[in-house]
Amino acid sequence: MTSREGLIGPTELTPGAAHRHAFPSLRPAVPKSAALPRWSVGAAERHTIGWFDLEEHSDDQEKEDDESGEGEGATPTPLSPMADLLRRLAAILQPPPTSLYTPNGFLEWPSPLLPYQREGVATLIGRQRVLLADDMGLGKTIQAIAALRILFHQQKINSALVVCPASLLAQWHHEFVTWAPDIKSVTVAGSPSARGTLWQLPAHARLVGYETLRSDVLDLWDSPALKARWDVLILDEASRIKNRESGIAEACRRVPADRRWALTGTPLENRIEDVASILEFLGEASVASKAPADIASDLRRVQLRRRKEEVLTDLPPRREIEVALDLPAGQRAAYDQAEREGVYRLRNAQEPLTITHVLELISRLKQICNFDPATGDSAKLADIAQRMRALSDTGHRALIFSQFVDDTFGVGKVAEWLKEYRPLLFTGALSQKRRSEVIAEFKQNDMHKALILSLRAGGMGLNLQAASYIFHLDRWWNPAIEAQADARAHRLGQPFPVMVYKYTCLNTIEERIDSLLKSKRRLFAEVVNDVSLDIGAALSEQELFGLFGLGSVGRR
Amino acid sequence: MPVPYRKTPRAAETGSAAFVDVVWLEPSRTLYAGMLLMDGKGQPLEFVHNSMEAPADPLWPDDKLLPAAVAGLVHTLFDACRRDPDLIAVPAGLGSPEYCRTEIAPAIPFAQVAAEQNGMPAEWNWINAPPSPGMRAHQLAQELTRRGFLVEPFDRLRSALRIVYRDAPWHET
Repeated sequence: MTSREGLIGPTELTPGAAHRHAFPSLRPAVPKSAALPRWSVGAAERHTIGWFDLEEHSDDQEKEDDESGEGEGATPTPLSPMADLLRRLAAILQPPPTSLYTPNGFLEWPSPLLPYQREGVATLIGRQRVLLADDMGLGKTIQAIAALRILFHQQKINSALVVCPASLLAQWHHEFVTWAPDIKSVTVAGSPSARGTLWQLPAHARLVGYETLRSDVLDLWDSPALKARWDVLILDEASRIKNRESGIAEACRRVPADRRWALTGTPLENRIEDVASILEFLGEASVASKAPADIASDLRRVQLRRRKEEVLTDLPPRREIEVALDLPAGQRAAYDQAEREGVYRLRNAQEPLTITHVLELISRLKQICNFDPATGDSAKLADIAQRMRALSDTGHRALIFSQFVDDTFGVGKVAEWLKEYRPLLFTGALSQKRRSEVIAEFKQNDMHKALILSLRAGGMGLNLQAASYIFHLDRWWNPAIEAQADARAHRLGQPFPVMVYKYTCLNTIEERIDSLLKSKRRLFAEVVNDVSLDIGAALSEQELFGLFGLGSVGRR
Repeated sequence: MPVPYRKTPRAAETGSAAFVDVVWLEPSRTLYAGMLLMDGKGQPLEFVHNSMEAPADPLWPDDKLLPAAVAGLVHTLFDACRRDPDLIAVPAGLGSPEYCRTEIAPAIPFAQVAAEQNGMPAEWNWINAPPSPGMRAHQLAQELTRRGFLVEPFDRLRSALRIVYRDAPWHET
């Protein structure tokens, strides 16, 4: 035999049982072997076993690119016998998985993984298809990164692609640095040419936004995302693909991957069918024609879902308070006038009425429930300002959510009202870089007593335990969306009870819709657990028109 | 293009330990030897292995021949290893302490690992002078103990031997 050194790659092997040692006879008899004949023994064979190498991975990927074509039909390049041996050795010689989770294991974690997180990591490692649907705030991101890190160290994977909302890219990168400092992650963003380079940079994990992936998969004939088969493909906030006909959903389905994980705290937002697209992404047969009971069965097979109250018994309580306010005289007059005029226009419209017309009027009235358009007065902000005074005096900070982003009815106006608390603004209009700066500034500088967020941009994924008070200036009427926003603060690491205030103005469209949805939700919850409602999906056309007494004139 | 990234700190910080074992799959005459080098965190660094056919010599019974064969085989592992481990560990079953000291005879801290038994935890039984508290071997042994890597590395090592020598009669053991 000759000495040989080899590079080690990925493989999948389970260690065999420990072998019985076979030299009992050596113990009693210990001869002086110098007196014995010497035999010729060949040189030993040596293999360097180590941490995976990025350039090695890059070479592998190029090799796959060259030889396996693109798309889901791509097949791994066969390894030479020696390369195969080296990969198998590298895998078998790694420490056992159980030693990787523990604080004493060779992978050091910034803080110990909690028991339910270790269970989640084990599930991700052990299964090819997982819908991790833990309640928000339980650390789905951390579990996914921990599982990736262990798989990389076990050399079972070489590449991972994480798809998430653009607003969460910086946070994912931060969590990689914190929880897997030995994993190199690259964020694919920017201009098409910049992205072309970023797709090729050596890295273990790539992070990409949903829209960017859609564009790079569907618009490019030679998409880098499709060139190689990914070892792991992760969708964060996977409910983004609930519309299976959307380009985003199609792009995610087309990316070839061996392991597919979907992460979401709200797999069902409105209907059991919402989860169908996620199941298809995970590789379940098309569920389009399946009955809800069958879909639910598929869901149970791939889903791991834990509730906060089940696993985080130490988490401070979350208390929800519905605040119903009377509009002050000026705002009342503005509201009444807007509703009268709106209904009049609907009744006398020349074109056929549609749901869109009604939703537009609802939106307009909600804006006036926030602020008087003439004076800027606001019953809600007066209440919030009063509470802000008390909570900031005691060292607490607040998140304020609104669906409106403008300076007259939305977050801009809120900031003006609360300027003495040096609020920061977080909206979809900010660049990714600026969003990260805002979040970092809020976390690090407690002179900012409030962070004002648009519900769409800031409602999911962010970790904002620095705040323990949450105000929903206006209602989305989808508890799943609102709970997702609340979970920004009510999550692991929150030391204080979280107070959630939801505002409704009395004798307005807000009160009418709230009341109608509450009665429907009670009925619906009896039929399908875990399903929440939003206004567009929950109210029928007739009910929407009925909100304005238009039942008989609608749908001409 | 070199990409800067933080590698997991390894041998440079924690030192490295060599776990050595030799397996004889009776009734065949072949001996299989392996040496796994790992850092203080249990991460593998190097794997060296070799095998030999023990001669059948009517003048020498197996209980006299095999110890010499084992020592010779182990020394080929030492020769092929490129690193300088801080300590060497063998399982208690490899031979008596006297045999290990006189026949294996490495010039670095050398211990037999006694498996957990009768409620007694696994431990290092030093064959030559135990490393003093200031030595890296001492810290390394403590670190491996703390992480539970006393007996477990031998399991990995034997599993690796099964892969390398896949045609050996492992099923008969």
